[in-house]
Amino acid sequence: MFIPCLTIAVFLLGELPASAYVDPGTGSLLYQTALTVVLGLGLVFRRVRGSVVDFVKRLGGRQSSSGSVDTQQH
Amino acid sequence: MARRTLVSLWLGFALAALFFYPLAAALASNLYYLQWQTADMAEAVAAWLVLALVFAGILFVVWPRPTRSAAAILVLVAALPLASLAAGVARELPYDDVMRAAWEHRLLRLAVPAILAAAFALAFLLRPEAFGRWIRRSLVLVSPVSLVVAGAFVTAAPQGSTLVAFERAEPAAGPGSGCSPVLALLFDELSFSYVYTGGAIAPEFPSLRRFGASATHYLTVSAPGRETLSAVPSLLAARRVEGMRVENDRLMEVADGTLRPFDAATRDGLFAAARDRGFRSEMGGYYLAYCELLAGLVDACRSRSFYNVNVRGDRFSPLDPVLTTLVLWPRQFPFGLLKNRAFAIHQRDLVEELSAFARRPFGGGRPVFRLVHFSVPHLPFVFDAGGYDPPLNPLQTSPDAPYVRQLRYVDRMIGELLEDLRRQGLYDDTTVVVLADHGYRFGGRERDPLHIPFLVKTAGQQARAEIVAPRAGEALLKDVIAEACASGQAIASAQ
Repeated sequence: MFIPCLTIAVFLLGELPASAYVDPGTGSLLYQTALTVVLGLGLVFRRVRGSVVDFVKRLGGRQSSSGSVDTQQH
Repeated sequence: MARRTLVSLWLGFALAALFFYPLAAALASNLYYLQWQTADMAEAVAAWLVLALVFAGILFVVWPRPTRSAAAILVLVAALPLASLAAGVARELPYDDVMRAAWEHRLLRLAVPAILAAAFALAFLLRPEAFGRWIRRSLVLVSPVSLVVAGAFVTAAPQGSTLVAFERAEPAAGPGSGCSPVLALLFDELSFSYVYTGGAIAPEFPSLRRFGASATHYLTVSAPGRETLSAVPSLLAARRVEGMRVENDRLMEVADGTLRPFDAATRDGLFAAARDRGFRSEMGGYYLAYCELLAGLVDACRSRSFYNVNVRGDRFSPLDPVLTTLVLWPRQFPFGLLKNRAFAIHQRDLVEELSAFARRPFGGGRPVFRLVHFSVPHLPFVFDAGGYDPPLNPLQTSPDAPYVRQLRYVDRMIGELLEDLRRQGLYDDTTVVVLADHGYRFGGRERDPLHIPFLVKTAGQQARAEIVAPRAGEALLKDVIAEACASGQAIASAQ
């Protein structure tokens, strides 16, 4: 759900009015770019989720039950 | 295999999109300055497709390989698109002036890329597998930005083409005003302080000296504006424009603290005055969308963007949007390494095309009033007296040696344009004006950038004259039209 929600947010919230502290014409794509990078974070997080889970488990002193997903092919 | 193909195609599409990020940003916020055409959009889409396929092909081969060479190829492939994204984002940041000032410090300018390069090299050498993994993650991370780029292109597409050229046929029988033709050569950033020495044209500009020997030198002319954006509209409107802004793809005038659409087509304006006196009016220039501004007032027009590259004229070229993207990069190191060459080529093409416009035959009908706004001696400084010879950094403004070299080329250009008129037997009967919109804005020998050179050779003029009374450039150019009619009629009656 995270990624579809973010995608919708990018398109619905991307067009922001120029604020007084931003020059008109400056940063018109910046907000949208920032939002899509968050979307990219979601994509990356999906891939490293296993590593993070393993890391947290190791911190808790539990054995990892699976290998890292970092090496999976894209 | 299908998943690998899909990933390669997506990332290929994304990398190509990232490269065009600066162009997308300009389409979203500075469309006016691009004078964007439907054909430009077609070229951009074609270039995007070609780049996407090339990137996708390379990624398909190297993406699954966990080797050091695969990681190196990934870095090489991604370097240009990521640099372009960084360049575009840097220009969009609201505090880019601060960044620009900070980047002027040599230590910072060299240290940051050096540290980044060293970090990449160390990671590549010591932890190649992790390095490759994080490169892949980074590409996935930024890949959705391609949606923003695609969105900007899709939004710009329906806005249609800016009018950049037209030619209206001369009526079979013109009104015949008896005015002499007027050729006004407007040079962007031509400085009085550099051109004149002690009230006379400096010896290093022989063509201007020769021209000035039988011309009137207006020695105290104020620039019509502090910068081109306000100066040239002041000339067109024949009145001082307080300030100009581009808002929502339109030229807006600041008047009494409010913004209103700028109208160059008023009855008091330059071209309306020319038309009233029976001239066939022609305008060629760069930077502003002249053909849109003067659509109802001029009979022939050519306008060019200062940023939108068009290397093969009107022919289809997917290379154009690539060069335009590079032109839109910041000038600072390391972006300047690629931007400078593209910008230099564009400057050369602008000068060639506008020179060709200035040399157009006058035709046999009505007398012609032709104003040509040249992009020199304004930067990029790519010419010297010998012609096109761009230095490594054509955007260097201090010291002023590159500007002086380009001034020598302007002198040569003026000589060639006037020689062309002489060869056609038109020089004596033509009023020729050499003027500037403002002076050199980067110091050097400049004493007052609002003091411009203004030379007028009227039809039949043989002797040098000087006028020291203060004049406003925008009013003086309009007066030249009236004078051209007076001198033309005097010649006609003498004959």
